[in-house]
Amino acid sequence: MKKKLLLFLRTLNARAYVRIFGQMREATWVVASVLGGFFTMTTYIYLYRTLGTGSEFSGLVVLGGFMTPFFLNVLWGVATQLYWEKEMGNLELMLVSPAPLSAFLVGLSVGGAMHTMLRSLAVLFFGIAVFKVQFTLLHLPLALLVFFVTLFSMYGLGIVFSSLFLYHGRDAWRTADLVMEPTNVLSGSYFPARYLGLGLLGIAALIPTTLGLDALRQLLVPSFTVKVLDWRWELLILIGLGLVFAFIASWALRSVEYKARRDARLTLRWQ
Amino acid sequence: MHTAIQVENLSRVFNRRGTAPFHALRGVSFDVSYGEIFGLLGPNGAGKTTTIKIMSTLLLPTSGRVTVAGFDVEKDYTHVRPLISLISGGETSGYGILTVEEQLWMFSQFYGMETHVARARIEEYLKVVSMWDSRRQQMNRLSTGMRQKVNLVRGLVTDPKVLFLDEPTLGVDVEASVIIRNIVRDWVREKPERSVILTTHYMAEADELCSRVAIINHGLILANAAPSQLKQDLDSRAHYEITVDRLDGEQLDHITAFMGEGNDLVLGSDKVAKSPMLVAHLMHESDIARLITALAEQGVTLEYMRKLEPTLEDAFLKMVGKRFEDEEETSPVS
Amino acid sequence: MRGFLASMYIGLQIESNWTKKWVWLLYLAAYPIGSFLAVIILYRVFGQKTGLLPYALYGTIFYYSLSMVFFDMAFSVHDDREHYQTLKYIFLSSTSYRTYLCGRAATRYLIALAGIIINLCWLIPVLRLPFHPNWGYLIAGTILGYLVAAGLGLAVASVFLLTIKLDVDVVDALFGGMFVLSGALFPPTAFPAVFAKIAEFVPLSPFIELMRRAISGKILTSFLSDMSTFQLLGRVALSAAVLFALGWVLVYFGSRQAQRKGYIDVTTAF
Repeated sequence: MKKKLLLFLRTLNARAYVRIFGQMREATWVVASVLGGFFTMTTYIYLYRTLGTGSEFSGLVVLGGFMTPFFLNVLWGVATQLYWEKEMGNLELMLVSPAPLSAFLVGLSVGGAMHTMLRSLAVLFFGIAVFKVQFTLLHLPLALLVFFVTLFSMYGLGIVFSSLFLYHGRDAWRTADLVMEPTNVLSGSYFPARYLGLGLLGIAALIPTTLGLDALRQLLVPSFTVKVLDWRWELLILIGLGLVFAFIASWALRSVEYKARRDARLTLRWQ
Repeated sequence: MHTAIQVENLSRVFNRRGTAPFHALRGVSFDVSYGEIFGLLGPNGAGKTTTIKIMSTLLLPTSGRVTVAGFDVEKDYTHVRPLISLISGGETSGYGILTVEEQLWMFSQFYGMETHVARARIEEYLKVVSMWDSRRQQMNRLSTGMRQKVNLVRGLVTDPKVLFLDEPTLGVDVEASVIIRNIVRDWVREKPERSVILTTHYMAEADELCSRVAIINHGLILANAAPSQLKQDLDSRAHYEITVDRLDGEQLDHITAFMGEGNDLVLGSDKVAKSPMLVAHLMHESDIARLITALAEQGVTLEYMRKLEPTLEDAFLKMVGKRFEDEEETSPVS
Repeated sequence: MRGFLASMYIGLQIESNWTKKWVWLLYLAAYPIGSFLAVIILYRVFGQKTGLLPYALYGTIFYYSLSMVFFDMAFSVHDDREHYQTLKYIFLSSTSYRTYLCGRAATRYLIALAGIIINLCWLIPVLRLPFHPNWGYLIAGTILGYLVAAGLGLAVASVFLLTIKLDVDVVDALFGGMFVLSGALFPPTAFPAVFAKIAEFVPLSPFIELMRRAISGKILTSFLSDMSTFQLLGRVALSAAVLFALGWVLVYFGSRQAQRKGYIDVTTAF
């Protein structure tokens, strides 16, 4: 048991290392990704000004801009990663090793989250500085708790999807590309999710960012009133979602790996 | 336990939409002992890579059974994986942004090695392959040969019991190939519980390294023996190439009559010296003395003589019926 | 011409052969929705009174038709080099790399247009968008749009030939900035005066405004309203010529430099 745990932790650490320090070597990437996030945020802040909504919407957009990079990282850096590993020829070496796939994916998640944190904080900083957005820090510890639970739940969902990418190839990648923007919109990154209406909200609530962002807005933006649920309920739902995703991910990875071995999908490149 | 790998009646069928099922392996059986370098030879699409993939737990067999160190690769794959390593030729795996040292450390962690042990082994093997000075270079700056040396080190650092080498010297220059072959040979000799499965297109490589080779074609094992045995089985006659100062058809007829039935003599010409060249296929090695006497009696002077040894390639050609490069068929996974 | 058509065909295969034809057609129709979904929600919820929905929706959709081309051309450099490892063979072939890129761009542009047409078929009646097309301007604008997109795409590809990291984020940042300033989503008059002035000179602004007017038959806001549609067409034609020529020259130098640096067949396995 101890040996297994050590193997898991060492694999996690090694994979996270590549994510954090490897990508840091490309300074242009960091600058460009911060700028990209900043421009998106700027677009929506000016859009709200054009629409004549209240100034509190700037705060909502900045928080959305803070969370969006995590959403993108989950989708492109975790969910699709096994597809890229396969295309690069790494997947077979990962599988031939004794480390479980879940350890690689948790490593990717931890590394990805830490790496994205820098980008997100930069976007948050520029948002506050340029647009003079104000947040209340009265509930900062609770906001941090909500934030980390949201990350746990989001990356859990990413790992669930990664099992699909392990089996499927370009089709899964295309699907992710297709749903990326609508999902990001539905999760309320750019506006309060309550405006979606009950039907859409039911679907959107399965994306952890939706309730996570709503709870963060309640805790950090004092004038925010159009909440979906009380943040306490949202926190509980996020914990539940995270646990369910973790369970499904663990089962799905095992079963999809077996199917992929059976159907010769593990090493099938240019699929 | 003397068997590192046991393959029993292994079959694999690939079903692809719109085409007939492809039978990559049709009842393949062989075993590999500890301390052995076992070669799998065959043209493209013969089933070599499919066999390696099944043995290394990447692919499930359609039927049959494979055990590695006594563990079933289908059911007990979690026990198999800590014991094996896979190195493929021409692979560009890993992460280009990492340095050589970081890349090797990362893979060692996937095997749960303690960092200080991993670092010591990485240093040891990088020095063996003369790459210690390049340890801080990023992977994407390395040449093909250097990258393959790093791949070899990656495979050895984790101290596997069974090493799968799939075309390990593919695209690698002569010097690097020699280094890789020497390391593999020494590595197996170092500990008795190690073994290597090698697939290669280079006959000389298999001849030099392998204690046994299996020749596989269209998913069937055609032969399984030591390279020397395969060569011996090819032809029991002795073959000589003799360059002489002169020899005409009439003299050849006399000599052929003298040598008797079963000994064939073919007259040609040496392409370099432009002298007549006699190729003799003799029933017994001792018949060469009679041939030399017969030539002397005809007043012919010998300029040059050499014995023609059959090669593993000759054995392969005889069994498969064609050279490697003549084969075009490819399997879905190889 | 043969090389151009072959490149278009390769582009089509890369875009479509991952699934069955009918699934791909659905995908083609569904893909642009992501680009305008937020616009519809935001303008329906918060901007009913502003009457700016047609402006924002048409703007976003036509921006999308160009952005698909930039992204594809930037991505194709890395995809061909690292993923499919065919870039070296394209360079060795008798078709010039620029022709190949233009062929890929043409396919992507046509696919984006097909998606747009399918979606406009339901968006116009459902959202009651103004639709009084001037077909002449619309066709001319569409053709010039290809040159604008291909020109910018060539310029981006020339930069990507000289980088060995898949820096899609750079394109994201560059075209994210252009999206803000081109007035696709809202009139740039909302910006401080300096940025509003800059917005008028962003090469994509006149194209988007031309297409808005050509399809709606109206001038929807004061942005670029001092120019007649014909003048706009002239500006778009000038931008298209300059951008395409610039892209064409940049890829030439980018290719030469990439050959010098040995980047044509570099693989990094990130």
